[in-house]
Amino acid sequence: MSVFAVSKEVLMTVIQELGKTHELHGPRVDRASGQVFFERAGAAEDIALEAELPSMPPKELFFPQVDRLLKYRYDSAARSVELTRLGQERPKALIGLRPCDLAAIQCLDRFFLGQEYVDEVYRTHRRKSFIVTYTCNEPARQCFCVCFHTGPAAEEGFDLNVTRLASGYLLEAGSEQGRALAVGLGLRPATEEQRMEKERVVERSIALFPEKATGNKAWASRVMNRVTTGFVKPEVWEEIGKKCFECGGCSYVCPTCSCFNVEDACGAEGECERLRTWDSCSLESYTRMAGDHNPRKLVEDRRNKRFFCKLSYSQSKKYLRPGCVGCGRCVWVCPGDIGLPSVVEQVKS
Amino acid sequence: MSYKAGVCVLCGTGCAHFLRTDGERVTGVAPSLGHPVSEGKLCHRGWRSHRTEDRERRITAPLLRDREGVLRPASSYDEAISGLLERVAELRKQGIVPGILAPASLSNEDGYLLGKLARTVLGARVFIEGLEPGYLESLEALHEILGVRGAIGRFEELDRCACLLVLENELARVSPILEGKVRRAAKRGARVVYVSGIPELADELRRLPEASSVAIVFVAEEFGRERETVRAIAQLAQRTGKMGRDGSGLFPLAATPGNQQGLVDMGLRERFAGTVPVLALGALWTPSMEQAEVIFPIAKSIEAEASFTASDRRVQLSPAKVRPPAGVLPAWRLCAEIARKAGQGWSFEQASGVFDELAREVPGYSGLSHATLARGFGAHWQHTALREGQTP
Amino acid sequence: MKAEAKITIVDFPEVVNIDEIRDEAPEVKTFYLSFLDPRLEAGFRIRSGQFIMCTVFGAGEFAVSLPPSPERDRLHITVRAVGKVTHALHRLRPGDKLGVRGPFGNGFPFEEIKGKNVIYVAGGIGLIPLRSSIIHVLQHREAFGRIILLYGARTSRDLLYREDIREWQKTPGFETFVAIDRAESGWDGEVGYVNTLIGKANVPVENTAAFVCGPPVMFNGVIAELLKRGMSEDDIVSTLERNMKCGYGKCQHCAIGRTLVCTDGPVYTYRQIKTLGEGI
Repeated sequence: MSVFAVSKEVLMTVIQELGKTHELHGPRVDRASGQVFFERAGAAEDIALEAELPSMPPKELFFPQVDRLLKYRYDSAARSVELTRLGQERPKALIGLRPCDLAAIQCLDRFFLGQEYVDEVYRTHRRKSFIVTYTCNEPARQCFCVCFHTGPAAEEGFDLNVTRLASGYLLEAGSEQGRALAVGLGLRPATEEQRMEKERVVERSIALFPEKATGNKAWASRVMNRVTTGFVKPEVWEEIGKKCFECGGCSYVCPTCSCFNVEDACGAEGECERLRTWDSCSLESYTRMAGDHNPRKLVEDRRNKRFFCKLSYSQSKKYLRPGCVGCGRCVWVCPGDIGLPSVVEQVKS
Repeated sequence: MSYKAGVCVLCGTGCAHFLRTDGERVTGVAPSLGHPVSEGKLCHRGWRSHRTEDRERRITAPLLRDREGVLRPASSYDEAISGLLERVAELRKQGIVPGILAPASLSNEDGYLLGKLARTVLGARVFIEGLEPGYLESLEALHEILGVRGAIGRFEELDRCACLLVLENELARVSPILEGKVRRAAKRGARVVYVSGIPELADELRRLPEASSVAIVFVAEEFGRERETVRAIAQLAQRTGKMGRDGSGLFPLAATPGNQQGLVDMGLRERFAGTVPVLALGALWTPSMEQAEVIFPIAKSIEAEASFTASDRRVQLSPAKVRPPAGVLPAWRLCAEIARKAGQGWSFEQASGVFDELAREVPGYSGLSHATLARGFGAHWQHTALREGQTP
Repeated sequence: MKAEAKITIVDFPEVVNIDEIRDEAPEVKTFYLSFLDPRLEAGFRIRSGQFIMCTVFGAGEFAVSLPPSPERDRLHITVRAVGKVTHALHRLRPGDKLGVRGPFGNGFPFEEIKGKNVIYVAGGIGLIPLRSSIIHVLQHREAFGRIILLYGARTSRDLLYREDIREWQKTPGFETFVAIDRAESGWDGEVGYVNTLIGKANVPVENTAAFVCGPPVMFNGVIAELLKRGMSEDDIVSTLERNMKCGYGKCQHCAIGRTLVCTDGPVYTYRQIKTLGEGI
């Protein structure tokens, strides 16, 4: 790994350089509301590195809410059909990705690109990406990445990691393409002093997390154990189920959730598109079969399944690590206040 | 930015959201974190509001029924408008009041100008398809008793009230957002009771401590069907002497999609009941339009800058997010075209101009404008009959 | 495990022609298919117990078991019209086109059961996935002990694969028992629920594999009877159905507990089904 130190201006140069070969994407602030989204940026200046965690997860870049997979036109007179694959490979540079969101993308990589089959749809979106992560100098509201070892600084999986120092930024190259970019731009190597400062920044950040995160590292792991071994009383899931509104929000904003529906949407004249759209195991329709048999009809069973999947199945099969990265988005969007931290508390007690 | 702010009109809660768009289509939805009512949440329908697969039902060009009774595409808007004015004139000569059919998804601007067109130019009656009968009845009852066709208070009162009474039982199904607020009220120590009817409501209000604020919520679909019931609710609310004060309120909630409150505010209160209309407006084809003489396509609410009013009188602005199909106009602009052709001197360049006029004409909307609505999350129109701190 | 050059059509459907359609029973039809691409037509190989994702153009996709034997058989699917997509399928005619992705899933054991007795117990449309294994096993008759079929349907009109059944009833060394729920005039076969055939056929339980497929009530009744007679839970095999969208392990709709039915299954032993951690 190579480590560099740059000023704000030089950092902008690095981003601009990337902008010559990649689409730039990064946190941008909606002016009227102040809400942050991880969006396409026309220029380096449009990216708000210091903005809080984007409200929607950056998984959207590789796994869009609505993805057009292919289109076809069925000619019922000629009895023929033309199918065309959609989806283009577009080089993307993700600038200012927070470490928790990077960990989530690594989970999705392991899941979509590994297992029994490689998902070509995801791979097309994912290839030729350049990832620049941004260390969190302090936790934002509802952050608990330290409980799942995904932050506040990225340790691997990035091309460049940026940490804000008292004066300037530390840039760590985490891949050959990251190093090549830095060296190619003639960036100045960091001093020992600056490297140490970064370590202190990270330590200080960790210390700012609330008690449950730092004082009790076993907060999450103990519950993961219970969920894995099945030692959670049914009454607990029933209580949690009563609070669930079955809106699906938790799955949509979760950076590791990737369940999708496949549907053919047709317009006039037999022109159809096959769409892949975000789906949620919270919804009753998720397991409903034609003929109406539904093996997971009860809402408490669906809540049970979600947390089993997020805390146990992810570890054993999907990602080989817990599926939660501690971003806190599910806490923002749940009308019933049963985001993951709340469920962990309820299972613990 | 690909995410653009908007207002969800799938029920009367009035959540804000963001719709992701590439200019042509909507490709995603996100919640609005800072909104005082939705507070970062969306319900199941709200999270799917970007998934409207209705391409097959979209109307994109005007249709005119010819003298043989066959509905044909008009050669131009001009031809269709002339055709409309002719048929309207004929009907009026026969002493028949022409009918106009329009959907409940119309914006305030659309509704205002359509109403004005109907009243002052065509001499016609407007029928709205999709207006919720329970909600209409509720608003009439509130008007009779409290002097205003609208909720007392704002949904934010639910965050402050000391006592919250919900007339069971559909709130969780209709609005997880408001039900979430109710549950949080209980958590912060408010007295929350789900009452099953008027006697229980009366009982709770009798026991209410003097200093206590009280918010009453009911789903109009359920409880609004009988005007008598809502009169009783309104009378009980009035007798508390707290209506209009901080933390208190009376909230009928519209469950049906559409700009229910806004259209009533604009004076469009008649539900479609089967009368054959001479004119039908719509973005999407419905069977009720089948018999109309003239059919005009209109832009969907996301295709034009528009304002909508929630069940607690919050008026919110929703900027245009995608382009309408070529040639398709927002309803208000179409109405202005028709009026112009009929010899009226209406000139509205933008939706904000329409709003400025309606703000002068519609009771309670004075002082509002697109500029003021664009700041923050809109604003509540004021009761002229009920000022803060006073009760009628 | 034999190494084979396998063609799997993963995410982009290949087009097949509907060559022929046969009415099997009320609401149930068999569609005989051939790939337009000659390379696929020659090289597409399946295992008994696998399934494909079939596209009905204009309607959507659905998961469907593969009833053909892996060797020497026409590619076909047998489908009951239940939902929007399958009803659209039933409106098609020979010459219309469908899309195919797959084959997906594990298969019915074949090598593992060589030398054993094999019992097939099917209820109603449960015969569809079992047909593949039945034909395959019969094509290698000498490798197995007793081969028994117990097949029950509600009425005689609901019996599938009548031509096959007539063949099977004439096949030496294949003990077949076909029953309908209630007596009908003109029916001289067995009468009663399919689990009553277990005793009638005097099925073996030692060195025996049982393949059971059918609606939940029938399934539970048959399992209970077999276990009562001393059969092991590891020797009873079935195939599970789920709401599937992708078919290759990504959409996650088919997850039950720790297993994904499209990739770990759809074939499971009864012991595995019992320990899935969730109901089926």
